[in-house]
Amino acid sequence: MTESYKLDGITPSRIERPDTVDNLSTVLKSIHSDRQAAVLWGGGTRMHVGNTVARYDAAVDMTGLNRIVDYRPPDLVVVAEAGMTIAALQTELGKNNQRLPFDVQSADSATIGGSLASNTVGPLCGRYGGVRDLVIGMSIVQADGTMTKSGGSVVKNVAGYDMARLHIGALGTLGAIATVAFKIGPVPEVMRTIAAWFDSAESAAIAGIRITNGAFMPEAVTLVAGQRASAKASELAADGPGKVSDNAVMLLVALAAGPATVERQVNDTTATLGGAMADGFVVLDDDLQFAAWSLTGQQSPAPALSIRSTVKPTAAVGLLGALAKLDSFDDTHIVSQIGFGTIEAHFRGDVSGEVVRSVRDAVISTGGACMIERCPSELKHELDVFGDLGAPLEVMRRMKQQFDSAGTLSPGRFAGRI
Amino acid sequence: MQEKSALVRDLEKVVEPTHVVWKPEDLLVYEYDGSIDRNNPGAVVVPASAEQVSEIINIARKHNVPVVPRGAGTGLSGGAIAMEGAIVLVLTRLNKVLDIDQENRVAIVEPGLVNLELGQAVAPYGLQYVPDPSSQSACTIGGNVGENAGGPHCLAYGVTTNHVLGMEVVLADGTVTWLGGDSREVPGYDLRGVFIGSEGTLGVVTKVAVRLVPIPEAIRTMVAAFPSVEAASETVADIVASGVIPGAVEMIDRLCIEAVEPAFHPGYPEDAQAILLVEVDGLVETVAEQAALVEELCRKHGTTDWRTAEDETERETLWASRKKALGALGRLAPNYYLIDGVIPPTRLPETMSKINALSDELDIPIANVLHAGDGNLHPCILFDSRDPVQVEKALIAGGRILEMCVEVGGALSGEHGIGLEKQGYLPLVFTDEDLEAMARLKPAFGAAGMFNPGKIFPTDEQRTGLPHGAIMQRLTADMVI
Repeated sequence: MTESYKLDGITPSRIERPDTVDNLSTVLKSIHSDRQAAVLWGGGTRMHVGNTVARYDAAVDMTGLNRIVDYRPPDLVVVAEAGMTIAALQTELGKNNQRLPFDVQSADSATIGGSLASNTVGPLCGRYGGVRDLVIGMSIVQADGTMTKSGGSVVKNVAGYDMARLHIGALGTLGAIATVAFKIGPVPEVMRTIAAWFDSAESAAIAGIRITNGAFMPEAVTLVAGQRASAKASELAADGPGKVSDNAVMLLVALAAGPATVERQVNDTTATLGGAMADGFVVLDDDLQFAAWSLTGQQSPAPALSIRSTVKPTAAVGLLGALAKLDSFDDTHIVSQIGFGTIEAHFRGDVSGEVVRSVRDAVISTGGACMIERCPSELKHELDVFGDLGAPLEVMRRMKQQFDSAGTLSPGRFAGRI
Repeated sequence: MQEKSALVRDLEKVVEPTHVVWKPEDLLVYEYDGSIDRNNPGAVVVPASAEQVSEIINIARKHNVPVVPRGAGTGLSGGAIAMEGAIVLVLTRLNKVLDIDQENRVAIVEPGLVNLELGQAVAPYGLQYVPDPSSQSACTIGGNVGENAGGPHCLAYGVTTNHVLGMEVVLADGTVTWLGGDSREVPGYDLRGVFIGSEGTLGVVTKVAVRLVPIPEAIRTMVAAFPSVEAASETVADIVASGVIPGAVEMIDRLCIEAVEPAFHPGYPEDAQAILLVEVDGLVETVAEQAALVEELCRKHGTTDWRTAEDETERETLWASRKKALGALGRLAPNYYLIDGVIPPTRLPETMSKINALSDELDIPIANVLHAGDGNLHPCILFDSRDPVQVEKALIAGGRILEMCVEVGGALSGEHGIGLEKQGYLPLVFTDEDLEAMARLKPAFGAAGMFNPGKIFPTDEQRTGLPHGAIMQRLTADMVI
């Protein structure tokens, strides 16, 4: 049992699984007064993100906090507990033909709290923003068990500091996200996907930017490069028009709205793709389009190295080309949300510190931000996976000191090993 | 001959003496903002660069005097008023557009740039900056960041925090650094996110990277008149529930109509009790689909007059009637007290009825102009500040409306901030523990007591006493003449 909560080679001696916010408060209060260190667990899908924890005595499994607290469909607001999975939340919202416009990999096990704490991105972020853009309120249990909240459950609220922001992407190092209020929206009436393939990452990225910057807001524009993308391009090209090159790169474009709008969007997008010299494309609907989007997900075994970077779209063109051409790995899988500017690059094979640094330098030289989300644990001891954050790191250190001076919550895991 | 203080002499070493205001009679200009509070600053300084801002902060620290960053002073909650003899740092000379990156849809601007001027600067590139407070012809981008400002078009597109990628800020120790950047995210704690909406209490913004979006291909602005505020409110609740998210859904009531009709001549029907202004935008096809649904819902709830703006001139007239409604209220009373509460849209019909009943009960007129689609009320309590009875009634009415908002699960402020005006009401929503957690941000930014002191957080007396009592005390001394 305790083995399944092993992290960075440390197996915790204590497992807690609170099933109410009050219990979570009691648990954290006890851990804090015992001067122990706790790691918060959601579905465990992104525990590889962050530096190695310095101390780890207790695992706090949040999945018992899995209820909807308040759901008012006509107000487009839902409040849910942090341990609820994204899939379970979407199922409930779907009953009213609504959804949270936020998608994650492994939605069946990824929780709300974990997705927020690790600031997950998915294809919908280009249009709807990061998950932080959807949060309107949050309750937090502090490191010492104190229950606090900020925001509320109306879509506009500037009363008090916007504390929820602090906990999104904080990897549970400043407090435990207990409940979250989201603004939600309708499920689009119609959705179509256009899957296009190109002979290089650069040409796919340029086409993606052109579509993103067009007159309408596509639902998603995602570039996928690497062996799986090439194989998918070959598969689609075999059944349809166009040619396909050896290292083909895919561009997936989702269009979603009312029927007349989507028809127009499909026409405009295919015209742009023709002009952008795609080697070929197909328009998919029904299950075929969901099969195409599964290309953006991970496959096991887990990659040896995952790097997430966020750059300006124009800088992404060259960077995607450079990453796609790296040939020192056995397998490469790159997923880029064009409108948002994120590039998640996953590599399998031998990974040395030198390789990691060279990839990171390539990102930083484009003016972008870079975080190493996964790498071999011996390398994690050598380098700070957050990179050099400059002057704001000092503010972050003081923030940790203010909210968790005893180092109860995942000490060492955040930037600067705070 | 008045003597310059050591502080003023130091400030004059950083900026030219013409940009330092220190004589008591000159300081009077800066004793108030768009709200009903007032207080005299210790000095006013108008820098021209981030470096000067940093030097001024170092001087303030040396003299142990706090600093209040100020844009145009249009916040309406007292955020720009200097307490504790603070230096007012006016940022309106930092008003340049530094860069427009059309392909990446980002602009870098200085904080004193007027919101509308940013829109005008990026329009030739086919782009727009979405947050559009009604005061956009005066308010500044830096002020928008401080208040996390909204505006009519935030219903579909989000508020300032959703449109600012990063800011260059000066912290309390004089450090100049970026929080966030010019792309969508940076690693580490989201310091940009907590800084936005912090009402100038954590540092001073000296550059802002804003996200731009394409100007929609088609826009349709529609006006519907209703025989009652309740019918208009039910229409709004139905539009939101339908899942169509228009660019904007705004409402004005009978009293507002009486003020704006002679001022702007929008041509509203004489017997209308409420007007809805609904705008949908996007592709031509999207606009047609959404406009049809909006019209259907308005007709279902008995609209008595329905029309669509025929051209850009008519659209601008209709928007002027809405965005400049507050100015037009001067035709009805010398002063207004705007309440910025938020409620869930489904609670609009009952809440609007209660506000009307409150107006009757206290015998004080309340004109309603609201961002109806997101439930952001702006009841404007009309009064004459020379009459202490009316002042007290206005404050009581304001408090009662905020309590109504909280009772239905709403918020104390949608876009104007807490400032001085609403700090006494925060305990209606937040516990001592909630407020204590928020208060930790100041030491984390190294800003304890340094920036905009006496704002947001309730004083000890306010935690126990009647919230409006404190405002009365501050006001009656010099305001009632």
